[in-house]
Amino acid sequence: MSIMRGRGFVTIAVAGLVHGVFIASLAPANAGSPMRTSELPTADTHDKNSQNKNVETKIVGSSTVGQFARAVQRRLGAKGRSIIIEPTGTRGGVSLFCSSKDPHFAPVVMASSAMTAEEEAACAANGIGPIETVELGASGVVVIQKHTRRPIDVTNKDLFLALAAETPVSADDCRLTPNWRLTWSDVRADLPNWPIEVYGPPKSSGTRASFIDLALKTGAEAVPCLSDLKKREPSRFLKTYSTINSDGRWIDAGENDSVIVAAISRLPRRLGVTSFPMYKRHENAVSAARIEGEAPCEETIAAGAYPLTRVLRLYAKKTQWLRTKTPADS
Amino acid sequence: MASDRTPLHTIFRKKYVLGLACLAVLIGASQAVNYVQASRQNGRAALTKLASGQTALSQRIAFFANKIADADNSNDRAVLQSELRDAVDRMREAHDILTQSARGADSGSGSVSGVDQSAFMREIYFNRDAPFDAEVRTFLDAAERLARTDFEVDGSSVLLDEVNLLGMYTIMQTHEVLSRVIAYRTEQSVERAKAVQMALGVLALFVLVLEGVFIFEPTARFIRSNVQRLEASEERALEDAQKAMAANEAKSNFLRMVSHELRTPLNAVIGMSELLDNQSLSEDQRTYVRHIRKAGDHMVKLTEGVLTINRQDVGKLRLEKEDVDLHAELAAVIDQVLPNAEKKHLTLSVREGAKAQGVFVTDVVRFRQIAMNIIENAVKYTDAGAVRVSTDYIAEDGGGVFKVTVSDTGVGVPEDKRDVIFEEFEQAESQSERTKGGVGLGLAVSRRLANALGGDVRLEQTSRKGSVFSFSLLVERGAAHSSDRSINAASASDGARRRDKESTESKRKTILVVDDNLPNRMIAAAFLKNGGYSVLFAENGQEAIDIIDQNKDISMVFMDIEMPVMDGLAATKLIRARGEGGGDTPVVALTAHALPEDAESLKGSGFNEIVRKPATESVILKCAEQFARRSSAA
Repeated sequence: MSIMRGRGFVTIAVAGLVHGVFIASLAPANAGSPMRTSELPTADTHDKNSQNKNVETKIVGSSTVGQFARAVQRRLGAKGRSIIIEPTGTRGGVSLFCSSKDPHFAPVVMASSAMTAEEEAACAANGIGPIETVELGASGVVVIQKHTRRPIDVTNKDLFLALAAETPVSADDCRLTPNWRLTWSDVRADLPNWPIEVYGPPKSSGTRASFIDLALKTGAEAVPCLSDLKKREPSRFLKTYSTINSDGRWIDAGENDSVIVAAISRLPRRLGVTSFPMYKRHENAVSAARIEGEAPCEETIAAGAYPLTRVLRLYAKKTQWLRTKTPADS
Repeated sequence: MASDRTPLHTIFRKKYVLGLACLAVLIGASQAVNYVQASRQNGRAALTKLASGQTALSQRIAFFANKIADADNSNDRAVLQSELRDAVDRMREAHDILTQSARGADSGSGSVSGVDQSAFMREIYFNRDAPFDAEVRTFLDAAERLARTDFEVDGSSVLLDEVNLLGMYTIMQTHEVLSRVIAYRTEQSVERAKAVQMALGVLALFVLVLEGVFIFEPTARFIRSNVQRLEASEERALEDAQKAMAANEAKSNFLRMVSHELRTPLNAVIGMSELLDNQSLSEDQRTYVRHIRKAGDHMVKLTEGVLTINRQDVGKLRLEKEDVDLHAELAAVIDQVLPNAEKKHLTLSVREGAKAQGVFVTDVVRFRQIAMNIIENAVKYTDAGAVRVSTDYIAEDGGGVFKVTVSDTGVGVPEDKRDVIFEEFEQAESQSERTKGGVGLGLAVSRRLANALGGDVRLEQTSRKGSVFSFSLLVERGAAHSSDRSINAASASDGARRRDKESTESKRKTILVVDDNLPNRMIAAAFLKNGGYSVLFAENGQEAIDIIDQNKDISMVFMDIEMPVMDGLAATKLIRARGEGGGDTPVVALTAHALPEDAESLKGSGFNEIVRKPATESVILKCAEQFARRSSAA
């Protein structure tokens, strides 16, 4: 695997290892189905009447974490074939995780951002729990562009001013007006004259949540009057930085990170938001923007110097964890 | 020039072909770009439409799935399920086409062809990590299960969640991105095509300019300069022609003048020798005088020959065709040559061709000239034997050929001279020529004249035992019998014989001879006195008028043309202007014009007759006999 290079990868490799152990624990001992993960799951998967053999287990959630899961699955070989990894996004995955009591459907959710209080409440309301949290390691959210030798260098504030639906009138006047900026040079004069058009994951995605939390929130805080607002009216501040403009500047490109890479590698002067591993795998097709002057790489992420660094997690239902873990250990 | 033009012509043609080919290639390329662009556009439009359709269908499927879950009764649910199945079928169908296109153009029917999107679409639909194809099918399968008739509400919530999640996010949004990228790339390729079109247009213009500079302009310049050169050379040629004409004119004027001037002294030489010949001389003296006379005659012929050739060179040879009895003319010529033949005891005979009888239309003066020349030559170069003349007529369409053949038993023409004898200023044998008195320009002049009359003069055959010359003229059959034009010539030789009879009748008649040249006056006076006339002299026209005023009994005038003080033409005009007072006095022009047609030009100037110098005694006396008025003296 190409990403298994350099010291910085240690973090992620550890995460993958933990994850692998975990997935291995999910695999039934008698796994030997000839079916490959890329093939369609059969209708039997959810059919209670046909659980007699080769039961497939579907795990859902972050596509970012999903890549590690797939790597582990490939290492497992035949044993991994009964596992189906379906990238639904962290938020979507958590939603499925909290609504399914089927031990073979979403017993585990891959998360590229932490569960929110609301999600925990929803899980509890559905009688799901207790929940085991496994921190896999650090990863990054990356702003990508078509491959170039000199990638764009933006600040969190730039990203906020470009993408937020409403922005303050000025640094001191916090009256919010609809975002009037159309090009990056509108945001900051020394940025290129590209249209603001960012392809990113949808609301169901943990990467998106991380991006909002890490980039836009920090960016909003960099505006003096909004920093005041945060102290005075936290909920309004939250709404301000987390409401992404939906008039074509931000384009939801689905949970599938490959789609974003494939699109950005063919769209010059446009930006995309994806996970660090996905960027790393397509380094010759896309380049990563510098954020606050820092380029994303294993070192900057491991050291936490790269601003958009976040922790990847797994959430598992404890009962099922225990139930499925036992035969795997044996 | 011609050798220069050919490669230039080729170069220009090659350049033109090259230029046209360049333009054709550019236009072809432009059309090809248009065509490819249009077909790609169509393919992309189809893909964009399909992808957008999938976006809408995924929303529709999610919508129906939720409705089914919420439906209160089985009837509603059945209708919704049917709608859902329908949407799923349509989406699956479109998905098949899209994935076929993603697999590439070689995947056969069902794909959208002519599109270069397959790499991008392959990356989306069939990437290793999370192939979109599998996601779409998972989504469609989940939706299809919701549409099943054995649907159970309890087991549907997870399926519904899955449909909702996939349908509202990944499926819809990925299709959206797909159509966006394709649209963007379409835009790009339209821009590129525009740029290519623009470049081709600019290139075409550039090629046109290049062609203008390197092909059209040089060609135009080449043509222009050639036209100018042509015009210049035409002008030069015109100038040269004018100069040549002027030079020729000067030459012929000079020749005319020289011949004219020669004839005046020749008149004296010939006239005086004739007069001397009639005196009582010793045998030696007579021989000398006759040689002088013969040399004079030869010189006269030379001047005529020179003028005739020159005349034909400058295109002034005037032919006057009329009805002529050619046999009568031939007889007259024979008559003239006969004395020479008799001297050598040659037989000179004529055999008239049966078909050659009758009257023909031709120029009689020329005919006489040619015939005289050929027959004279035959006699001249034959020392013993016979000269035979025969005629023939060969009828042809629109006329016929009158042919005269003259055969002799003479020395023949040496082989190396057979071609050159017809050339001007060439003689068969210069040594023998001197003894024979010289052929001069005779054959060359004869051939030129015969050519002018549509015929030729030929040496038919020749050997040491004799030659056969022939001449032919293109003639037409004449309508009437010939006039008695030939009488002058025919009867000229008779004049001397009749002299004695005339002289007795002409006594007491006074004739005025007007000539500025004393020897000429003396000759004319001697001839006329021999004829028994009394003679008065005037040295110019004015004197002549004065003498006529004083002497009413002048019966006729011999008038020279070119004289000082008043020339013959002016004097004659004045005489004619007198009316009753001597205005009808006969005036005979005595001109030094060497050629008959020049002498003819004096006709209509008031002269009763025109006589060319040198005039023999017989001619002078014949004129006197014809015109001297008997009445005035009586």
